[in-house]
Amino acid sequence: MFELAHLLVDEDCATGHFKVDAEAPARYTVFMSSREPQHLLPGKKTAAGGTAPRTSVAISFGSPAGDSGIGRLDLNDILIRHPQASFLMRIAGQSMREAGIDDGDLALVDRAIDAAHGHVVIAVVADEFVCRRLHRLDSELRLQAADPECADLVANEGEEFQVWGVVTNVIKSLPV
Amino acid sequence: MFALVDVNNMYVSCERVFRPALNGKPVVVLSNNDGNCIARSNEAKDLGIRMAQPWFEVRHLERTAGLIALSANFELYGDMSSRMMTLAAEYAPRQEIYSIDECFLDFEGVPGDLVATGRDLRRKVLQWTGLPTSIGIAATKTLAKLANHVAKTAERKPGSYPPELAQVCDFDRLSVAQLQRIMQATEVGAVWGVGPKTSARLNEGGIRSVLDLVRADVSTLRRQFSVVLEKTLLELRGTPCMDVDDAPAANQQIMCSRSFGEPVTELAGMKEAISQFASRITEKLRGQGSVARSVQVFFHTSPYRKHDRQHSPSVTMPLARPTADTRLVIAAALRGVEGVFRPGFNYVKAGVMLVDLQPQAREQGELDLFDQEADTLAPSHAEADLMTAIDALNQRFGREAVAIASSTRPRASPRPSRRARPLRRTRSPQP
Repeated sequence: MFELAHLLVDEDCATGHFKVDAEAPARYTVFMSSREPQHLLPGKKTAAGGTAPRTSVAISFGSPAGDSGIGRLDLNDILIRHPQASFLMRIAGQSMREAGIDDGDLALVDRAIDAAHGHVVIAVVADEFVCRRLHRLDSELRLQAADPECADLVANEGEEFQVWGVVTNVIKSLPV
Repeated sequence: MFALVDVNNMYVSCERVFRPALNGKPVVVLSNNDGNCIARSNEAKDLGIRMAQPWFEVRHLERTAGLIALSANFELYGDMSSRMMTLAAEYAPRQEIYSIDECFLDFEGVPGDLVATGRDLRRKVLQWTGLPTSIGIAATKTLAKLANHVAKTAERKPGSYPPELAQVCDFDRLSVAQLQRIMQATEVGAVWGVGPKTSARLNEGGIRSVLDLVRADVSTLRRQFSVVLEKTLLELRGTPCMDVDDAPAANQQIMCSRSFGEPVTELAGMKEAISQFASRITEKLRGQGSVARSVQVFFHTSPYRKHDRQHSPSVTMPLARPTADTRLVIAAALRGVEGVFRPGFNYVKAGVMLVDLQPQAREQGELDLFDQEADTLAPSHAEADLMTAIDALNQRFGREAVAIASSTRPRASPRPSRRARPLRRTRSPQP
């Protein structure tokens, strides 16, 4: 879901406007998400005409203060696009396993995003939360599990559901 | 122009966001120990349950009417409040947070259709947080409060007011005749700051509706009631005269929030400000003979400083026991600050709120019986005496003549070299 990249940027990364300068020495390591403008994605041509290096490990952001060096990397900054609309939910059950979402995973849910076809969403069905992929083509609206055993919920066949939020990330805990 | 943004049935609405099964059912939220209903869903209001009514009086409705009672979760409500407040702050140059679920927005100089702005704000808060709000817009705060009452009631009780005023109500859009009809149809007790006692006395004097009050004689009212009621009357007539400190206190919470002249960027400065606010509101708490069980701390950057990165943390800290001791409140508030403060942001405003209040005497009696081991935490006469002495000195020699050390800087000087400590705790966005 995420790619990590070294990018060469100048101080005003604090404002969220990344400037790419292939000539200048590296000053910050920036953790990139796939949501960044396409020209900044690793491997793509940069605005300055250079090619950004491929992935590597990010350790920190430049500090928002701009002059106090390197701050510690903060998952809130990396993962959360809309702090006021973001919630964590724990996944129970295996019905989304083939989409890579397992029992016990933490789902980061963003209510600010308008749900679109293909999004994994948290929906309310019969007063319960369920995690499903939203299928929305033409007039057809259904919730699909990532499990062939599990039937779709179809909105216009007597079922009613409401999309509660869009799942943007899934956090897994590995045995350690 | 002012707008009052208010979450409908705040605590119940917060619970419903995460428990959809509560939708459409009569729900009350109970205060932590004395079992009063401190929030009611519309369905619970329709069952005749009154605000702050004791649980034992309505308990039978569990069986007969499917009433659901929940214990209060102030950490959740504080978190949801801060989300709503931050979203609302984006819509106006000035915001005044009035209580956990209400804020005034000052629309002075904001161009465009304010009803459309209000509807957009309402839609955004609902989508982002799941909380339903009502918005009243008018020339003064007291009128905005009244417009909010109309917006809420028009939605809840169809037929009470014109349906187009539901959810978002702008008095400025109405003709004089329309506004008078609304004021005629509204009891005087619905006016901000007119409590049950004043309301009963006004009724005796023949003033029953808001319109009666608006038409009353100012000097007579001032003589028979108070300067505050005079200000209320002027505000109802459209003259803004309600300062922050004149505003009637909200129920069940005491708060203090201020904007900073210069943005605060360091932990030390934030801790100092929060300590001051905390001691001020704890003094208020003692003044009304209450103790608090939780303290909420919040601070935020300005959405109007477009080049600044934005951060608006809020944290609700439970107090070790219900207390009115400034030292304990400050200690809890500062732990909260340390947990959520992030260096490098330009914080322009901060506030502290005491929530989950209860009368003092009873709780201390209970604790003295059962909390034997918590010697250091147990309230004592010495502690009460200390607080009384501080309050007396401050009343006599002026605010903050005596203060807890963390809220003062006796040798204040710029400390550019001082680096804030790294965060020791972070807080997930999980409610």
